[in-house]
Amino acid sequence: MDFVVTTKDATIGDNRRAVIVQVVGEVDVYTAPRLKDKLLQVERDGVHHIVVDLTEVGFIDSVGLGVLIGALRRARAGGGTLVLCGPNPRIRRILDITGLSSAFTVSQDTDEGLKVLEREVPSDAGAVGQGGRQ
Amino acid sequence: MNHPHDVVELRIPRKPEYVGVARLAVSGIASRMDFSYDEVEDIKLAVGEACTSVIHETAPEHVALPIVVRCESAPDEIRIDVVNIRPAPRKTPPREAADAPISQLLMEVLMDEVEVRENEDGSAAVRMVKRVSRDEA
Repeated sequence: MDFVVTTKDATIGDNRRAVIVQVVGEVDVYTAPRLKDKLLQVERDGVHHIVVDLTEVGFIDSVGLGVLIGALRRARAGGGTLVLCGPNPRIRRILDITGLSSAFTVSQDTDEGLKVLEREVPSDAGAVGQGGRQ
Repeated sequence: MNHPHDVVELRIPRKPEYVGVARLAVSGIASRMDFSYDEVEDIKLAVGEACTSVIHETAPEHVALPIVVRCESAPDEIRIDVVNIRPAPRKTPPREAADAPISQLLMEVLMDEVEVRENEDGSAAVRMVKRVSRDEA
C-alpha cells in the first residue's frame, strides 16, 4: 500500500489556524520520516493545533510513535496540541501498551478532533504562544 | 499448516524499506499456524521492531551486511531469531536511542519470550518466542 500524507487547513474558535494531517498506509521506520517532514512543515508554517487522522493507517511501529510524540511536544511548546483521530483497535492497543494513550487525546473523527483542540487549548492559552500545557 | 519445526530463513538488506518485507514474511508464516489474528499482528510488529533496532545500531561501515531473520515453527509456538551480523559490537550509542525503550517494551509485551544474545563472533541476535494461546483452542 502506498504511503501518503496530506494536510487540510481548518480553523477553530477565535479564528485560530489548525491543520488536519491525514495519513494513509503503514507508518514504520521507512515511512515515518515522511510524516515527520510533513509535521515539521506544518509547524514551520506556524500552526500548532494539529489533528492527525489515523483512520487509514493499518500499522504503526515505535519509530512512527516517536514521530507523533515529538510532534505533540513541539505543538504544546508552541501553545497548541496534537490530537489523534480514528486509530484502529490494533493501534489503540499499541498506544495502551506503551502508555501513550494517556499522553494523546484520541477522537473518533476529525470533526471531534477539532472540537477537542478547542476544548484543550482555550484561545487565551493559544495567544500566549509558548509555554504550552503541562 | 502444522509442519513441526519447519525453518524459514530470510536475509534482508539492512535498509528501512526492507523491514516491511520481513514483517510480511513472518506474518505469512505465523498466519499458517494456529495463531489468532491479533497474535499474528503482535508477531509482525515485534519482528519489525527487532529489525529496526538492528538498523539503528548499525555502524556506517556495516551497512552492507544483511539482517538474518530465522523462523522456526513448532506445533504450538514460533521461534524467531533476528540476527545482527557484525564483525564487532559498536562502542558508540545507537543513533536513534530515543525510540529504543518503546521498541524494547513492545517486543517484551507482545511476545512470550525475548532474549538478546551476544555471540563470540560479534554478532548479536534477538530471540523471540510466541506460543499459540490456549484460549484459542
